[in-house]
Amino acid sequence: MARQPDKHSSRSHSAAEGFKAAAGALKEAGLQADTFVRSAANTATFGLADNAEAAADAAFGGGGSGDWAHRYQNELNQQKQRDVYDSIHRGVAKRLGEIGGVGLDFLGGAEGGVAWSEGLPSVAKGKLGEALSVGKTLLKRDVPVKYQAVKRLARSYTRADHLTADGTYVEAKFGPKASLSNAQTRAQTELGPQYRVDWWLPKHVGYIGGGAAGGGALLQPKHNEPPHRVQPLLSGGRP
Amino acid sequence: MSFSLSWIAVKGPSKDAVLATLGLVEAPEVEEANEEADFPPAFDHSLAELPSGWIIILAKDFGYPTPKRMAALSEGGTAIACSIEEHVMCSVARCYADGQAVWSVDHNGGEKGSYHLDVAGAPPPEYAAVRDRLTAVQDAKGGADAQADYVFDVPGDLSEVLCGYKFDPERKDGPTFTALGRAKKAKGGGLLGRLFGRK
Repeated sequence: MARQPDKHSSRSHSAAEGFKAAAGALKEAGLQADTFVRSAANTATFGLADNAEAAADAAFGGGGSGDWAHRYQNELNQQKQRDVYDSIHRGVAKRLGEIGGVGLDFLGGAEGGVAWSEGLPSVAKGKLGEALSVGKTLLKRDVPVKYQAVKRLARSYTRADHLTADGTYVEAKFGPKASLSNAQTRAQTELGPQYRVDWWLPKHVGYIGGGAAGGGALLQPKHNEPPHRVQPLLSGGRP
Repeated sequence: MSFSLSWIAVKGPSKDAVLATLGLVEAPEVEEANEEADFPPAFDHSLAELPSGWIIILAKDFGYPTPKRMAALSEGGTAIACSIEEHVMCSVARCYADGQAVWSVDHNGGEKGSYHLDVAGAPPPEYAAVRDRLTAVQDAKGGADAQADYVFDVPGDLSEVLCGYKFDPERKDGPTFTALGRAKKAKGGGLLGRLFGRK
């Protein structure tokens, strides 16, 4: 498993260690890039694959994804099973008299990346946010070196979505009103600039679906401030 | 800590019955193979028994407590499940008894804001106290503009009030979990087995 490069310790690596770590990181980055690409290609179900692929090519210089595509397809299949579960659960809630709020209108025939991602089930949105953050890390010329990276804190620990080679712990949030959890606020306070939170919105998926992912769309979300309190950098207006 | 997981608390059926229903077996050897066993949840599925009699199944899967599983686990007893998805700040608790859905409490903070709660069925009396307490915290910390979503914890805290467990990796006094693995299917049950007399 890749060494967990704390921001300070990673900089004390010897050149050989650094090269070895970088090689491993690049291998992982291939998977990460593909995860991002396949997330974008997720929209294929709704007829947006060409745009998504074009956007991914723009972001990463193209290239086939081979086995990674197969792996990601398996992931998608698992996700579909969960979607079915969510639909059933909502049915239970309806029978009880009210509707639960676990966003589920996924199968409603949405058009466009915005509507599509707005309608995704919760788990899918979470995965999408993680994948978009990986894309953002890559576009920042950094690479993810570990997923679900554990970082000890003074009183507890935090488990971030991924750790970058630069020593930044990255958390992804998806949704116009997604805030941090109480524990995450403590991690943010303690880790400061070593803790990056990306807030993603359906419109970011829309940009990618529309072929506008040439870097700007993914780099757009300003980290460390939630979208309902920050004016988006490119489009303006509250999401 | 963007966790995406769930737990099911079962009271009534025995541990063996719970495991049989889920198709799982205790597999302590899994623990030794996991280098991050100190950081829960270390395993895809794990089990803990509380002194109060509740059996807890912890799963690294938001969607694990399916209606089918919940109905089966609650036969002859009660099953309370909670799922949390911290990327979208979505949490949901639901209760089944004797195979029937009784209530559910959903929070969708990412889409509907920090104060969102949807209730289905008839939640227990304890719900109001949990909701009021965490809503008051949200108010005190800045309301909808607060840095954190405190109401997100309503389903989890309700689970804790009712069955004595909530997934909280910061707590040092939590129950000890045992790793679970998939139960192997019985051999010899196929056509050849029957033809050649295997049992």
